[in-house]
Amino acid sequence: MSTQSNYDTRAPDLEARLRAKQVECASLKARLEEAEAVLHAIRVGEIDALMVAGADGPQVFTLEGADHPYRVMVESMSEGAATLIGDGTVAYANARLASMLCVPLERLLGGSLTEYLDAVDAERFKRACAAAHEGFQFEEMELRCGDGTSLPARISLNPLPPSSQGNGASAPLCLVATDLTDSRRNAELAAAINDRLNAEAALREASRHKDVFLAMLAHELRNPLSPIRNASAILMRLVGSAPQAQALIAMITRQTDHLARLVDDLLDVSRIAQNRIELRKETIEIGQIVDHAVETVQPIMREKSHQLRVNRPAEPLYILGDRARLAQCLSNLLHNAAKYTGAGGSITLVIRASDTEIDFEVHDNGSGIGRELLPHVFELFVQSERTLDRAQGGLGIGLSLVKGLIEMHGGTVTAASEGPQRGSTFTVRMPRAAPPVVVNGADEPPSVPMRRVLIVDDNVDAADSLAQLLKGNGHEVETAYSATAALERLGRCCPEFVLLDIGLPELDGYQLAGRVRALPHLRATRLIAVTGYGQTEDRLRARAAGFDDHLVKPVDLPALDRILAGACVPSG
Amino acid sequence: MTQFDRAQRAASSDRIHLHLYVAGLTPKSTRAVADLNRLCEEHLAGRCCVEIIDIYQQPQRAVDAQIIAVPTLVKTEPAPTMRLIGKLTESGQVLKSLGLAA
Repeated sequence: MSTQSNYDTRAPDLEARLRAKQVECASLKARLEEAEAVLHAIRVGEIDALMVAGADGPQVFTLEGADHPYRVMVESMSEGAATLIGDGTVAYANARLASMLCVPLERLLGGSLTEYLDAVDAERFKRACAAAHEGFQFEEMELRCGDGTSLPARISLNPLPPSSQGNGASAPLCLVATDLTDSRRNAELAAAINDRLNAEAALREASRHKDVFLAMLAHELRNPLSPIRNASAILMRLVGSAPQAQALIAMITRQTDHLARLVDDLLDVSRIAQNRIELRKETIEIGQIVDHAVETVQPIMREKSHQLRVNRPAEPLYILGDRARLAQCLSNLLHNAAKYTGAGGSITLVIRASDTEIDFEVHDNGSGIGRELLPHVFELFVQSERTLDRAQGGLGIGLSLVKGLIEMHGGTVTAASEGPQRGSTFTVRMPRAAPPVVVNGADEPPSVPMRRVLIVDDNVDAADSLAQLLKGNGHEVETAYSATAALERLGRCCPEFVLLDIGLPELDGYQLAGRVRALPHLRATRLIAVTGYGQTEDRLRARAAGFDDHLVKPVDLPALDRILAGACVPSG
Repeated sequence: MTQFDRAQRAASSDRIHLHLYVAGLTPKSTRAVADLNRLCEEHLAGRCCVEIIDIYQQPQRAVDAQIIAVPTLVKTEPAPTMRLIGKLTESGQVLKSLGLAA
């Protein structure tokens, strides 16, 4: 039984061993096939690199020709490249390095790069080479080229793998030289651009300060004009019958108007500079503008015995624009002509019209404009002949203002002169507009019923003089010189109109308006804001604060009359 | 193993993974890359993951994969691992050698 069983177990053992041998055989066959495949591939040249185990790790051997792409790359790159051996001898250099150094390649090979460095850089270079055996180094240096020029370069040094050649300190170094000329120049240009930008920003800031200062100055100069103007109106009413007083009051009025015009010009010019002017455009017959402009220059022309002629076509001519601004432009030009024309001279305003344009030409036979000044007459603060006594006066802003305003209207203004003492011609050219469809209701002064008015202004003179004027017109007027006084007054009476100066101390006009609007018995009271600046944002803010209307200092009496008459005044 | 890894492995398990070992810009290496790209596009579109290993940049991976000569193409998945040394120009021959012939 036991032998039987032994026999029975031996047969499977043999089979297993046979199977194992078969598997081993197949594995050996596969390995052999692989080895043969490698040998075959090598023999027929299908491979171009071999991987071998070196003492210091795996190494790659490329076959001849396989490094060709690298050579092309190194030879064509814009960096200079070299291999340094021993103590820095150039074993290989690309053509670019030779051209950077302006020497023939043959001279470079076998030499040392220290030949192209000054003593200090040569020392740094040697130290960098020594350090490069431990790892990557880079230095910026001035290369002294063969043609005597110098070239800024960044030199980077890398050790070649020590196992590939020799060992230790004599291992070769790989050098790459980057020409920094362009990047240095770019950096210089960038710095220069930056400097200019800073200078420009500083100039802009200075210019903005100037504009702000001009606006503030004009505003401050304008404030005292209201009480003076009001006072002269009152005086005229009080003592106007005495001829001597009449002449003096007329002079005060004239001079005040002149001062107001100068200040307004200054304010307008700063507004134009800050792009903060708005036009109220309507279709206007030019006669209205011309009459108004001529009227304002009558005094100075009378004074200098000028002859003024106005030639215009008989047909009605229309333009689209801001009535007051266009009159201001024309009057500035006439004023300018009067200023620079001697006593007894003649000034002519000629108006010509084509189908699409209207020209306003102001001719004079005065002092004229020199050739060198002519291109600059419309620039701010430019004046002819800055004489010590400043006989001509003025600030040199009138023409600049005209140009700004006319251009805002889509027109142009030009100056011409035959030369000094030969007179000048200024021409404003405006687009011609179609006649308005309906013209109704002439601008008659409204009849104003008696009103109860409270004037709130911390400028006592301004408040009192305006109060006196309004009283003279038959209104019932009270004044308050502070927000507190105003609130106290409003607590016990109920005016129909409150004229509220925005610039009050302690509580400003906007806040005060809010308080007033909260009082139930003052629902029907109309609140009028009075501000120094006629800016859009002021108007909008006044609206938002609960004001019904808005007036600009010095208060224009006809405008105030329109408000008191209950007429709706457009407030932008 | 994160859920992401599991999901990724599941998604890629039925794909053919090919590793091509090259020696930088050598002519036969660049041609092998071009040949392999063409082969994958024409015969294995959407079914294979190809990784190209530069033995200059990653010598250790070449050692681990027992690469002797370059270019060598190794198919790691599906098993068994097969390798092909030399040129890959004959697409049909390559697929057959890797056991991928349809």
